[in-house]
Amino acid sequence: MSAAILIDVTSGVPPYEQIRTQVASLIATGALSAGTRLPTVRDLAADLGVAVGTVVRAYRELEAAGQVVSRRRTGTVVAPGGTLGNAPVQAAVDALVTAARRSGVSDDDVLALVRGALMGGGAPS
Amino acid sequence: MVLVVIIIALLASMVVFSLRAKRVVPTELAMSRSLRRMNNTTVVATLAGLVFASWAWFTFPTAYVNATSVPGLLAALGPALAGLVYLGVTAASEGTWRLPSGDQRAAFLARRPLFSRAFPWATRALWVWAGLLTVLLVTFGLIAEPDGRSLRNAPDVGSCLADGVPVPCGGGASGPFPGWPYGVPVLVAALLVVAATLAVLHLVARRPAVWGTSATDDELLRAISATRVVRGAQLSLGTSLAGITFFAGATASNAGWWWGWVAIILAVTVLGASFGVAMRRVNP
Repeated sequence: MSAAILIDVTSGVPPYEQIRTQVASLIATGALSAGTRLPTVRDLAADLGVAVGTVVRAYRELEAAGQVVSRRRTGTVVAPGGTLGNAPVQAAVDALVTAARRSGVSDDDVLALVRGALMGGGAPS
Repeated sequence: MVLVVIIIALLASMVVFSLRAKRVVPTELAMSRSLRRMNNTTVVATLAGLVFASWAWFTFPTAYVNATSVPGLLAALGPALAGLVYLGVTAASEGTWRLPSGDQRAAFLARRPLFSRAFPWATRALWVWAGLLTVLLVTFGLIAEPDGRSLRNAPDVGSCLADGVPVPCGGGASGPFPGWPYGVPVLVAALLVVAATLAVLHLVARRPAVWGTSATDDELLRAISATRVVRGAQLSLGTSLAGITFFAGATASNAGWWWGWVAIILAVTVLGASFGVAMRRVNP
C-alpha cells in the first residue's frame, strides 16, 4: 500500500511545511522505508495542485535534515537511518493513537497531551 | 457516402458495446466518474480515427492516388495517419484532466514510471506488428525490382501478369509491389505512431492522480487508459502491416511466387488478430 499525504491550502501552515512534516513523519514511523523513491517534484506538485517550487522547498529541507537524498539518476529517495527505529516507543505511540481513536480524542488534543507529557517529563536526554 | 456512414455507425456501435458490456460499476464515485471520462475519450478518439480511416479508404486510392510522386503512397500511409489522428485526440484529452482545486488535496507518495504500462496483451500486439512490419518492409525493399514498385516474375511459371497484362514469365515483372518507395515512408510513419504512442503513455503517467481513489485504483485507471492508447496504436500498425502484406502477396501470387498465398493468409490473419485486440474489453 502506498503512503499518502494530505494538505490543506487554507491552513496557516505553509503547504511546503505540511508536505515536509508529513513526509518526515512517514519516514520516522517506517511507513516510507530507506531506499523508497519519492514522486518527482513535478508529479507531486501536479497531484497536490501546488507550485513546483513548493515541493522543491519541502524536498530540499528534508534533504538538509538528512531524511532524503537526491540523486541525478534515481531522483529523491528516503535516506537510510531516517526511521526512528525505537521499537518500544513506536509500539507505545501506536497504542496511544489506537486508544485516542477509540476514545474519540481529536488529533490536536493527542498532540497537546504528548507535548504536555514531554514538558513535564524532565529534561530530554 | 451512405456506405461510409453505415461503416462508421457499425464500428462506433461496436466500440460502445465493447465499453459498456460487462462493465462493473465501481462503488467509488471518483472511480466511476473517471471511467466515464475515459470511455468518452475512447469513443471520441475512435470515431475521429474511424472517420479519417474511412475517408482515407475511399479517397486516397482514387482521388488522391497521384497526390504524391509515388502513386498510391498516400493510401499506404492511410492506416498510420488514422492511428496518429486517434493518438492526437487521446493526447489532447489527457491534457484536460481536472487539476486539484479544493481546500484539501491528497497525493500518493509513489513514484510513477516514465510511461504508463498497458496490459501485456496490448503491448505485445503493438511490438509484434511493429517488428513484423519492419522485417517485411525491409525484405520487400530488398527483393523488389530496381524501380521499387514491382517484383520479378518467377522463372518456372507459364504465364504471368504485369500490371494486368500477360507477359512471358522470367523476363517480366509484376506490380504494384511495396519496395523502398513505399517501404521507407511507411516505416517512418510506423515509427511516428510508436513515438506518438510513447508520448501519450508519458502523458497518462504524468496526469494528476484522481482525487478520492486509492493508489491501486489510480494505477488501474492509468493502466486502462494506457491499454486503450496501445490498443488503437496496434490497430493502426496491424492494418498497415496487413495492407502492405496483402498487396505484396497478391503481386507475388500473380508473379508465380509460392509465398504469395502465404503472405495473403498472413495479411488476413494479422488483420483479424489486430481487430480482435482492438475490440477486447478493457474494464476493471
